[in-house]
Amino acid sequence: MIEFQHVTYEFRRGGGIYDISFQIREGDFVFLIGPTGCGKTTLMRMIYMDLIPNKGVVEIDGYYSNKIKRRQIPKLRQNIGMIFQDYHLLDDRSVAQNVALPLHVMGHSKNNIAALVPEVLDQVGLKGKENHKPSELSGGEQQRVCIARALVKDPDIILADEPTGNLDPVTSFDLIALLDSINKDGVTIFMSTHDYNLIKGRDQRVIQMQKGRLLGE
Amino acid sequence: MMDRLAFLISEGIRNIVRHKLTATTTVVSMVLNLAVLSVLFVIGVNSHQLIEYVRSKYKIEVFFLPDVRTDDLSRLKSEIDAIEGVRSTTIITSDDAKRIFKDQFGEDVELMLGYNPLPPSCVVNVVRDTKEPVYPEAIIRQIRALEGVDEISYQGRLITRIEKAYEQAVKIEVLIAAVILLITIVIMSGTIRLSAYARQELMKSLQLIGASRWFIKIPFMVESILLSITAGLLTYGLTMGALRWGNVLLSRYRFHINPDPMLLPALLLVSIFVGIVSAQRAVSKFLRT
Repeated sequence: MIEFQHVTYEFRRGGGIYDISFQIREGDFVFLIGPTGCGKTTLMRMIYMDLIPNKGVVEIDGYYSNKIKRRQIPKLRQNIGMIFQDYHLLDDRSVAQNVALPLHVMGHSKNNIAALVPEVLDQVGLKGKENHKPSELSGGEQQRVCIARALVKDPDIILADEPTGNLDPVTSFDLIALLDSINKDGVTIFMSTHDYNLIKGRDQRVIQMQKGRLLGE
Repeated sequence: MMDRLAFLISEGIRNIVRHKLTATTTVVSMVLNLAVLSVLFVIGVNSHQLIEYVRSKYKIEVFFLPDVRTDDLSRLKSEIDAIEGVRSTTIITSDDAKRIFKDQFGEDVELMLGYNPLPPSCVVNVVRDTKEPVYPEAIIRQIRALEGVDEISYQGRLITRIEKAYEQAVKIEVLIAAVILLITIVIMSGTIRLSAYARQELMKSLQLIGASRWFIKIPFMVESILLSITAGLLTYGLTMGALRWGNVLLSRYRFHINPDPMLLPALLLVSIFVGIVSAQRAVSKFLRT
Protein backbone atom coordinates (compact mmCIF):
# COMPACT_ATOMS: atom_id res chain seq x y z
CA MET A 1 0.00 0.00 0.00
CA ILE A 2 1.12 3.55 -0.79
CA GLU A 3 -0.15 6.40 1.34
CA PHE A 4 0.77 10.09 1.34
CA GLN A 5 -0.47 12.10 4.34
CA HIS A 6 -0.17 15.88 3.85
CA VAL A 7 3.28 15.49 2.33
CA THR A 8 5.36 18.56 1.55
CA TYR A 9 8.86 18.58 0.15
CA GLU A 10 10.54 21.78 -0.87
CA PHE A 11 13.90 21.97 -2.63
CA ARG A 12 16.40 24.47 -1.24
CA ARG A 13 16.25 26.54 -4.41
CA GLY A 14 12.49 26.45 -4.63
CA GLY A 15 9.98 24.09 -6.17
CA GLY A 16 8.70 20.83 -4.77
CA ILE A 17 5.39 19.28 -3.81
CA TYR A 18 2.93 20.69 -1.29
CA ASP A 19 0.38 19.09 1.02
CA ILE A 20 -0.11 15.92 -1.02
CA SER A 21 -2.49 13.28 0.31
CA PHE A 22 -3.67 10.16 -1.49
CA GLN A 23 -3.75 6.41 -1.10
CA ILE A 24 -3.15 3.54 -3.50
CA ARG A 25 -4.39 0.12 -2.52
CA GLU A 26 -2.72 -3.19 -3.32
CA GLY A 27 -3.30 -4.33 -6.88
CA ASP A 28 -4.36 -0.89 -8.19
CA PHE A 29 -3.15 0.60 -11.47
CA VAL A 30 -2.97 4.35 -10.98
CA PHE A 31 -1.77 7.07 -13.35
CA LEU A 32 -0.18 10.28 -12.13
CA ILE A 33 -0.60 12.92 -14.79
CA GLY A 34 0.61 16.46 -15.08
CA PRO A 35 2.78 18.76 -17.16
CA THR A 36 6.56 18.51 -17.11
CA GLY A 37 8.01 20.10 -13.96
CA CYS A 38 4.84 19.76 -11.89
CA GLY A 39 6.53 17.50 -9.31
CA LYS A 40 5.71 13.99 -10.55
CA THR A 41 9.30 12.73 -10.27
CA THR A 42 9.68 14.35 -6.84
CA LEU A 43 6.58 12.51 -5.70
CA MET A 44 7.88 9.23 -7.15
CA ARG A 45 11.26 9.71 -5.43
CA MET A 46 9.46 9.96 -2.10
CA ILE A 47 7.95 6.52 -2.67
CA TYR A 48 11.36 4.86 -2.89
CA MET A 49 12.59 7.18 -0.12
CA ASP A 50 15.18 8.91 -2.25
CA LEU A 51 13.68 12.06 -0.73
CA ILE A 52 12.20 12.30 2.75
CA PRO A 53 9.33 14.78 3.25
CA ASN A 54 9.84 18.04 5.10
CA LYS A 55 6.29 17.70 6.38
CA GLY A 56 3.81 14.84 6.46
CA VAL A 57 4.37 11.11 6.17
CA VAL A 58 4.74 8.65 3.31
CA GLU A 59 3.86 5.05 4.09
CA ILE A 60 4.96 2.25 1.78
CA ASP A 61 4.15 -1.34 2.73
CA GLY A 62 4.56 -0.65 6.46
CA TYR A 63 7.63 1.57 6.12
CA TYR A 64 7.09 5.15 7.32
CA SER A 65 9.19 8.00 5.98
CA ASN A 66 9.47 9.58 9.43
CA LYS A 67 10.67 6.37 11.08
CA ILE A 68 12.67 4.56 8.41
CA LYS A 69 16.39 4.07 9.06
CA ARG A 70 18.91 4.53 6.26
CA ARG A 71 19.86 0.85 6.32
CA GLN A 72 16.18 -0.14 5.81
CA ILE A 73 15.85 1.80 2.55
CA PRO A 74 17.57 -0.88 0.37
CA LYS A 75 15.14 -3.46 1.82
CA LEU A 76 12.18 -1.25 0.89
CA ARG A 77 13.55 -0.74 -2.62
CA GLN A 78 13.97 -4.47 -3.14
CA ASN A 79 10.20 -4.68 -2.97
CA ILE A 80 9.63 -1.94 -5.54
CA GLY A 81 10.29 -2.33 -9.25
CA MET A 82 11.33 0.91 -10.90
CA ILE A 83 11.08 1.96 -14.52
CA PHE A 84 12.48 5.28 -15.72
CA GLN A 85 12.22 7.35 -18.85
CA ASP A 86 16.01 7.15 -19.36
CA TYR A 87 16.15 3.38 -18.63
CA HIS A 88 19.17 3.36 -16.25
CA LEU A 89 20.51 0.28 -18.03
CA LEU A 90 24.19 -0.68 -17.94
CA ASP A 91 25.65 -0.77 -21.40
CA ASP A 92 28.73 -2.78 -20.45
CA ARG A 93 26.51 -5.77 -19.68
CA SER A 94 24.14 -7.90 -21.69
CA VAL A 95 20.37 -7.72 -21.38
CA ALA A 96 20.37 -10.90 -19.27
CA GLN A 97 23.07 -9.49 -16.95
CA ASN A 98 21.09 -6.25 -16.53
CA VAL A 99 17.98 -8.20 -15.61
CA ALA A 100 19.95 -10.47 -13.26
CA LEU A 101 21.43 -7.58 -11.28
CA PRO A 102 18.53 -7.18 -8.78
CA LEU A 103 18.63 -10.92 -8.11
CA HIS A 104 22.34 -10.72 -7.27
CA VAL A 105 21.55 -7.83 -4.94
CA MET A 106 18.83 -9.87 -3.23
CA GLY A 107 21.18 -12.84 -2.82
CA HIS A 108 19.54 -15.35 -5.18
CA SER A 109 21.56 -18.42 -6.10
CA LYS A 110 23.24 -18.79 -9.48
CA ASN A 111 20.82 -21.55 -10.50
CA ASN A 112 17.79 -19.53 -9.48
CA ILE A 113 19.03 -16.54 -11.47
CA ALA A 114 19.68 -18.74 -14.50
CA ALA A 115 16.09 -19.98 -14.32
CA LEU A 116 14.33 -16.68 -13.56
CA VAL A 117 15.96 -14.36 -16.09
CA PRO A 118 14.91 -16.16 -19.33
CA GLU A 119 11.42 -16.61 -17.89
CA VAL A 120 10.97 -12.87 -17.29
CA LEU A 121 12.56 -11.92 -20.63
CA ASP A 122 10.08 -14.22 -22.30
CA GLN A 123 7.23 -12.56 -20.39
CA VAL A 124 8.20 -9.09 -21.69
CA GLY A 125 8.74 -10.36 -25.23
CA LEU A 126 12.52 -10.26 -25.33
CA LYS A 127 13.22 -13.94 -25.86
CA GLY A 128 16.37 -14.33 -27.93
CA LYS A 129 17.76 -10.91 -26.93
CA GLU A 130 19.52 -12.19 -23.78
CA ASN A 131 23.04 -11.61 -25.04
CA HIS A 132 22.44 -8.25 -26.71
CA LYS A 133 23.84 -5.08 -25.20
CA PRO A 134 21.13 -2.48 -24.35
CA SER A 135 22.56 -0.09 -26.97
CA GLU A 136 21.82 -2.69 -29.63
CA LEU A 137 18.09 -2.54 -28.86
CA SER A 138 15.36 -0.07 -29.82
CA GLY A 139 13.92 2.35 -27.24
CA GLY A 140 10.84 0.18 -26.77
CA GLU A 141 12.96 -2.92 -26.26
CA GLN A 142 15.21 -1.11 -23.79
CA GLN A 143 12.13 -0.10 -21.82
CA ARG A 144 11.03 -3.74 -21.85
CA VAL A 145 14.41 -4.67 -20.39
CA CYS A 146 13.68 -2.16 -17.62
CA ILE A 147 10.30 -3.77 -17.03
CA ALA A 148 11.96 -7.20 -16.93
CA ARG A 149 14.51 -5.87 -14.44
CA ALA A 150 11.70 -4.50 -12.29
CA LEU A 151 9.59 -7.62 -12.62
CA VAL A 152 12.29 -10.18 -11.92
CA LYS A 153 12.31 -9.15 -8.24
CA ASP A 154 8.67 -10.22 -7.98
CA PRO A 155 7.81 -6.82 -6.50
CA ASP A 156 4.57 -5.73 -4.82
CA ILE A 157 4.76 -2.31 -6.47
CA ILE A 158 6.04 -1.10 -9.83
CA LEU A 159 6.79 2.61 -10.16
CA ALA A 160 7.03 3.83 -13.71
CA ASP A 161 8.27 7.39 -14.01
CA GLU A 162 7.45 8.65 -17.51
CA PRO A 163 8.31 5.25 -19.04
CA THR A 164 6.90 6.26 -22.41
CA GLY A 165 8.70 9.61 -22.53
CA ASN A 166 11.16 8.44 -25.19
CA LEU A 167 8.84 6.12 -27.09
CA ASP A 168 6.59 6.52 -30.11
CA PRO A 169 2.79 6.26 -29.56
CA VAL A 170 2.45 2.67 -30.81
CA THR A 171 5.31 1.42 -28.63
CA SER A 172 3.90 3.41 -25.72
CA PHE A 173 0.52 1.68 -25.99
CA ASP A 174 2.27 -1.70 -26.25
CA LEU A 175 4.16 -0.89 -23.07
CA ILE A 176 0.98 0.05 -21.23
CA ALA A 177 -0.61 -3.17 -22.40
CA LEU A 178 2.36 -5.03 -20.93
CA LEU A 179 1.99 -3.15 -17.63
CA ASP A 180 -1.74 -3.98 -17.71
CA SER A 181 -0.98 -7.67 -17.93
CA ILE A 182 1.49 -7.40 -15.06
CA ASN A 183 -1.15 -5.58 -13.01
CA LYS A 184 -3.59 -8.41 -13.64
CA ASP A 185 -1.15 -10.67 -11.75
CA GLY A 186 -1.76 -8.50 -8.67
CA VAL A 187 1.19 -6.10 -8.87
CA THR A 188 0.36 -2.50 -7.89
CA ILE A 189 1.36 -0.11 -10.66
CA PHE A 190 1.86 3.62 -10.25
CA MET A 191 2.81 5.33 -13.47
CA SER A 192 3.47 8.98 -14.14
CA THR A 193 3.10 10.60 -17.53
CA HIS A 194 2.55 14.00 -19.08
CA ASP A 195 0.84 12.44 -22.11
CA TYR A 196 -2.95 12.85 -21.74
CA ASN A 197 -3.55 10.80 -24.92
CA LEU A 198 -2.11 7.79 -23.23
CA ILE A 199 -4.82 7.66 -20.56
CA LYS A 200 -7.75 8.65 -22.71
CA GLY A 201 -10.46 6.02 -22.68
CA ARG A 202 -8.89 4.00 -19.91
CA ASP A 203 -10.90 3.10 -16.85
CA GLN A 204 -7.99 3.30 -14.41
CA ARG A 205 -7.71 5.83 -11.63
CA VAL A 206 -5.89 9.04 -12.58
CA ILE A 207 -4.34 11.49 -10.12
CA GLN A 208 -3.77 14.95 -11.57
CA MET A 209 -0.98 17.22 -10.49
CA GLN A 210 -0.06 20.81 -11.23
CA LYS A 211 2.59 23.13 -9.79
CA GLY A 212 3.42 20.71 -7.01
CA ARG A 213 -0.15 20.21 -5.84
CA LEU A 214 -2.83 17.61 -6.49
CA LEU A 215 -5.66 18.91 -8.62
CA GLY A 216 -7.93 15.97 -8.01
CA GLU A 217 -8.78 12.58 -9.44
CA MET B 1 25.53 -16.19 0.22
CA MET B 2 28.49 -17.84 -1.54
CA ASP B 3 27.01 -16.99 -4.93
CA ARG B 4 26.59 -13.37 -3.90
CA LEU B 5 30.17 -13.22 -2.63
CA ALA B 6 31.43 -14.84 -5.84
CA PHE B 7 29.45 -12.24 -7.83
CA LEU B 8 30.95 -9.34 -5.85
CA ILE B 9 34.50 -10.68 -6.21
CA SER B 10 34.04 -11.32 -9.93
CA GLU B 11 32.71 -7.75 -10.29
CA GLY B 12 35.89 -6.46 -8.65
CA ILE B 13 38.10 -8.52 -10.98
CA ARG B 14 36.03 -7.46 -13.98
CA ASN B 15 36.56 -3.83 -12.98
CA ILE B 16 40.33 -4.33 -13.25
CA VAL B 17 40.05 -6.01 -16.64
CA ARG B 18 37.74 -3.25 -17.91
CA HIS B 19 40.15 -0.51 -16.80
CA LYS B 20 43.52 -2.08 -17.58
CA LEU B 21 45.36 1.15 -18.23
CA THR B 22 44.16 2.84 -15.03
CA ALA B 23 44.98 -0.33 -13.10
CA THR B 24 48.51 -0.45 -14.50
CA THR B 25 49.11 3.23 -13.69
CA THR B 26 47.89 2.69 -10.14
CA VAL B 27 50.12 -0.33 -9.60
CA VAL B 28 53.17 1.51 -10.95
CA SER B 29 52.64 4.58 -8.77
CA MET B 30 51.91 2.39 -5.74
CA VAL B 31 55.08 0.37 -6.33
CA LEU B 32 57.09 3.61 -6.31
CA ASN B 33 55.60 4.65 -2.98
CA LEU B 34 55.77 1.21 -1.43
CA ALA B 35 59.41 0.93 -2.54
CA VAL B 36 60.24 4.01 -0.46
CA LEU B 37 58.33 2.47 2.46
CA SER B 38 60.17 -0.83 2.16
CA VAL B 39 63.54 0.95 1.97
CA LEU B 40 62.59 2.77 5.17
CA PHE B 41 61.60 -0.58 6.69
CA VAL B 42 64.96 -2.15 5.79
CA ILE B 43 66.82 0.91 7.10
CA GLY B 44 64.75 0.74 10.30
CA VAL B 45 65.50 -2.93 10.87
CA ASN B 46 69.20 -2.54 10.13
CA SER B 47 69.59 0.63 12.18
CA HIS B 48 68.00 -1.22 15.10
CA GLN B 49 70.57 -3.98 14.71
CA LEU B 50 73.27 -1.32 14.61
CA ILE B 51 72.03 0.35 17.80
CA GLU B 52 71.84 -3.07 19.48
CA TYR B 53 75.46 -3.62 18.56
CA VAL B 54 76.43 -0.17 19.90
CA ARG B 55 74.48 -0.82 23.10
CA SER B 56 76.36 -4.06 23.61
CA LYS B 57 79.46 -1.88 23.89
CA TYR B 58 77.97 0.37 26.59
CA LYS B 59 79.78 -0.42 29.80
CA ILE B 60 79.25 0.76 33.36
CA GLU B 61 82.12 0.00 35.72
CA VAL B 62 81.26 0.00 39.40
CA PHE B 63 84.15 0.15 41.89
CA PHE B 64 83.43 -1.10 45.37
CA LEU B 65 85.10 -0.05 48.64
CA PRO B 66 88.30 -2.09 49.28
CA ASP B 67 86.87 -3.64 52.45
CA VAL B 68 83.87 -5.22 50.68
CA ARG B 69 84.01 -8.97 51.28
CA THR B 70 83.36 -11.76 48.78
CA ASP B 71 79.93 -12.51 50.39
CA ASP B 72 78.97 -8.86 49.99
CA LEU B 73 80.06 -8.97 46.35
CA SER B 74 77.56 -11.69 45.45
CA ARG B 75 74.82 -9.77 47.32
CA LEU B 76 75.74 -6.60 45.44
CA LYS B 77 75.74 -8.53 42.13
CA SER B 78 72.19 -9.80 42.70
CA GLU B 79 71.04 -6.32 43.73
CA ILE B 80 72.51 -4.77 40.57
CA ASP B 81 71.11 -7.58 38.40
CA ALA B 82 67.65 -6.77 39.75
CA ILE B 83 67.83 -3.15 38.53
CA GLU B 84 65.64 -2.44 35.49
CA GLY B 85 67.70 -1.92 32.35
CA VAL B 86 70.57 -4.16 33.49
CA ARG B 87 71.21 -7.10 31.15
CA SER B 88 74.15 -8.77 32.93
CA THR B 89 76.90 -8.13 35.45
CA THR B 90 80.41 -9.52 35.89
CA ILE B 91 82.16 -9.27 39.23
CA ILE B 92 85.91 -8.61 39.24
CA THR B 93 87.48 -9.30 42.60
CA SER B 94 90.72 -7.60 43.72
CA ASP B 95 92.64 -10.75 42.74
CA ASP B 96 90.96 -10.78 39.28
CA ALA B 97 91.90 -7.12 38.86
CA LYS B 98 95.50 -7.90 39.82
CA ARG B 99 95.60 -10.68 37.21
CA ILE B 100 94.12 -8.40 34.51
CA PHE B 101 96.66 -5.74 35.37
CA LYS B 102 99.48 -8.25 34.97
CA ASP B 103 98.02 -9.44 31.64
CA GLN B 104 97.83 -5.90 30.31
CA PHE B 105 100.97 -4.33 31.74
CA GLY B 106 103.18 -7.35 32.51
CA GLU B 107 103.77 -6.19 36.08
CA ASP B 108 102.55 -7.66 39.38
CA VAL B 109 101.08 -4.63 41.14
CA GLU B 110 101.24 -6.31 44.58
CA LEU B 111 104.95 -7.04 44.19
CA MET B 112 105.56 -3.46 43.00
CA LEU B 113 103.72 -1.71 45.84
CA GLY B 114 103.74 -4.35 48.53
CA TYR B 115 99.93 -4.43 48.58
CA ASN B 116 97.08 -4.78 46.07
CA PRO B 117 95.52 -1.29 45.54
CA LEU B 118 92.97 -2.50 43.03
CA PRO B 119 89.45 -2.57 44.53
CA PRO B 120 86.83 -5.17 43.69
CA SER B 121 84.59 -3.98 40.88
CA CYS B 122 81.71 -4.99 38.64
CA VAL B 123 81.08 -4.53 34.89
CA VAL B 124 77.43 -3.81 34.19
CA ASN B 125 76.00 -4.39 30.72
CA VAL B 126 72.75 -2.64 29.84
CA VAL B 127 69.84 -4.09 27.89
CA ARG B 128 70.19 -3.70 24.12
CA ASP B 129 67.06 -5.16 22.54
CA THR B 130 64.64 -2.39 23.44
CA LYS B 131 62.64 0.04 21.33
CA GLU B 132 62.97 2.67 24.06
CA PRO B 133 66.17 4.72 24.29
CA VAL B 134 68.59 3.53 26.94
CA TYR B 135 69.58 6.28 29.36
CA PRO B 136 71.94 4.88 32.05
CA GLU B 137 71.43 7.70 34.61
CA ALA B 138 68.58 5.87 36.33
CA ILE B 139 70.70 2.71 36.62
CA ILE B 140 73.65 4.72 37.95
CA ARG B 141 71.43 6.40 40.56
CA GLN B 142 70.24 3.07 41.89
CA ILE B 143 73.72 1.54 41.92
CA ARG B 144 75.12 4.57 43.73
CA ALA B 145 72.54 4.08 46.46
CA LEU B 146 73.85 0.59 47.22
CA GLU B 147 76.03 0.09 50.31
CA GLY B 148 79.69 -0.64 49.48
CA VAL B 149 79.76 1.26 46.15
CA ASP B 150 82.70 3.67 45.90
CA GLU B 151 82.93 4.98 42.35
CA ILE B 152 81.14 4.50 39.05
CA SER B 153 82.67 5.02 35.65
CA TYR B 154 80.64 5.08 32.37
CA GLN B 155 80.49 6.80 28.96
CA GLY B 156 77.60 9.00 30.14
CA ARG B 157 77.55 11.84 27.62
CA LEU B 158 78.42 9.61 24.68
CA ILE B 159 75.60 7.15 25.46
CA THR B 160 73.11 10.01 25.81
CA ARG B 161 74.20 11.46 22.46
CA ILE B 162 73.96 8.15 20.66
CA GLU B 163 70.55 7.36 22.13
CA LYS B 164 69.20 10.84 21.37
CA ALA B 165 70.43 10.62 17.77
CA TYR B 166 68.84 7.19 17.40
CA GLU B 167 65.57 8.39 18.93
CA GLN B 168 65.52 11.34 16.52
CA ALA B 169 66.27 9.11 13.53
CA VAL B 170 63.41 6.75 14.44
CA LYS B 171 61.01 9.71 14.76
CA ILE B 172 62.00 11.09 11.36
CA GLU B 173 61.69 7.65 9.81
CA VAL B 174 58.19 7.19 11.23
CA LEU B 175 57.20 10.64 10.00
CA ILE B 176 58.47 9.99 6.47
CA ALA B 177 56.73 6.59 6.45
CA ALA B 178 53.44 8.21 7.56
CA VAL B 179 53.69 10.85 4.80
CA ILE B 180 54.47 8.20 2.17
CA LEU B 181 51.57 6.08 3.41
CA LEU B 182 49.26 9.07 3.14
CA ILE B 183 50.47 9.82 -0.39
CA THR B 184 49.91 6.17 -1.35
CA ILE B 185 46.36 6.28 0.02
CA VAL B 186 45.64 9.53 -1.86
CA ILE B 187 46.99 8.09 -5.14
CA MET B 188 45.07 4.86 -4.72
CA SER B 189 41.81 6.53 -3.75
CA GLY B 190 42.22 8.91 -6.69
CA THR B 191 42.39 5.94 -9.02
CA ILE B 192 39.47 4.16 -7.39
CA ARG B 193 37.54 7.42 -7.55
CA LEU B 194 38.19 7.59 -11.29
CA SER B 195 36.99 4.05 -11.61
CA ALA B 196 33.93 4.85 -9.46
CA TYR B 197 33.26 8.00 -11.49
CA ALA B 198 33.21 5.90 -14.65
CA ARG B 199 30.66 3.66 -12.99
CA GLN B 200 28.36 6.22 -11.43
CA GLU B 201 25.51 4.87 -13.52
CA LEU B 202 26.09 1.40 -12.09
CA MET B 203 26.13 2.76 -8.55
CA LYS B 204 22.94 4.71 -9.13
CA SER B 205 21.23 1.66 -10.67
CA LEU B 206 22.35 -0.54 -7.80
CA GLN B 207 21.02 1.93 -5.26
CA LEU B 208 17.69 2.07 -7.06
CA ILE B 209 17.26 -1.68 -7.14
CA GLY B 210 17.93 -1.93 -3.42
CA ALA B 211 21.63 -2.64 -3.06
CA SER B 212 23.09 -1.78 0.32
CA ARG B 213 26.09 0.54 0.56
CA TRP B 214 28.32 -2.46 1.27
CA PHE B 215 27.07 -4.33 -1.78
CA ILE B 216 28.12 -1.34 -3.89
CA LYS B 217 31.43 -0.87 -2.09
CA ILE B 218 32.70 -4.45 -2.01
CA PRO B 219 33.63 -4.79 -5.74
CA PHE B 220 35.59 -1.52 -5.47
CA MET B 221 37.32 -2.85 -2.36
CA VAL B 222 38.16 -6.13 -4.11
CA GLU B 223 39.57 -4.14 -7.03
CA SER B 224 41.55 -1.88 -4.73
CA ILE B 225 42.91 -4.73 -2.59
CA LEU B 226 43.93 -6.80 -5.62
CA LEU B 227 45.78 -3.85 -7.13
CA SER B 228 47.44 -3.10 -3.79
CA ILE B 229 48.53 -6.72 -3.28
CA THR B 230 49.97 -6.81 -6.80
CA ALA B 231 51.89 -3.61 -6.04
CA GLY B 232 53.02 -5.07 -2.68
CA LEU B 233 54.35 -8.25 -4.29
CA LEU B 234 56.12 -6.33 -7.05
CA THR B 235 57.68 -4.02 -4.48
CA TYR B 236 58.88 -7.02 -2.47
CA GLY B 237 60.51 -8.52 -5.56
CA LEU B 238 62.15 -5.21 -6.42
CA THR B 239 63.39 -4.63 -2.86
CA MET B 240 64.85 -8.13 -2.57
CA GLY B 241 66.55 -7.74 -5.95
CA ALA B 242 67.96 -4.36 -4.95
CA LEU B 243 69.17 -5.77 -1.61
CA ARG B 244 70.90 -8.71 -3.26
CA TRP B 245 72.63 -6.35 -5.68
CA GLY B 246 73.46 -3.90 -2.89
CA ASN B 247 74.93 -6.66 -0.72
CA VAL B 248 77.20 -7.76 -3.57
CA LEU B 249 78.52 -4.20 -3.77
CA LEU B 250 78.77 -3.79 0.01
CA SER B 251 80.53 -7.13 0.51
CA ARG B 252 83.80 -5.35 -0.45
CA TYR B 253 83.37 -3.27 2.71
CA ARG B 254 82.38 -6.32 4.80
CA PHE B 255 78.97 -4.80 5.35
CA HIS B 256 75.72 -6.72 4.92
CA ILE B 257 72.15 -5.46 4.85
CA ASN B 258 69.70 -7.96 6.30
CA PRO B 259 66.32 -8.31 4.59
CA ASP B 260 63.94 -8.83 7.50
CA PRO B 261 61.56 -11.81 7.11
CA MET B 262 58.76 -9.48 8.18
CA LEU B 263 59.19 -7.35 5.04
CA LEU B 264 56.76 -9.37 2.90
CA PRO B 265 53.99 -9.63 5.53
CA ALA B 266 54.49 -5.95 6.39
CA LEU B 267 54.24 -4.91 2.73
CA LEU B 268 51.13 -7.03 2.20
CA LEU B 269 49.50 -5.67 5.35
CA VAL B 270 50.23 -2.08 4.33
CA SER B 271 48.93 -2.81 0.81
CA ILE B 272 45.68 -4.30 2.06
CA PHE B 273 45.26 -1.42 4.50
CA VAL B 274 45.84 1.11 1.71
CA GLY B 275 43.41 -0.81 -0.52
CA ILE B 276 40.60 -0.82 2.01
CA VAL B 277 41.05 2.77 3.16
CA SER B 278 41.30 4.21 -0.34
CA ALA B 279 38.28 2.30 -1.70
CA GLN B 280 36.23 3.30 1.33
CA ARG B 281 37.32 6.92 0.91
CA ALA B 282 36.70 7.04 -2.85
CA VAL B 283 33.35 5.26 -3.03
CA SER B 284 31.81 6.86 0.06
CA LYS B 285 32.21 10.21 -1.64
CA PHE B 286 30.05 9.03 -4.54
CA LEU B 287 27.47 7.33 -2.36
CA ARG B 288 27.02 10.56 -0.43
CA THR B 289 26.19 12.56 -3.53
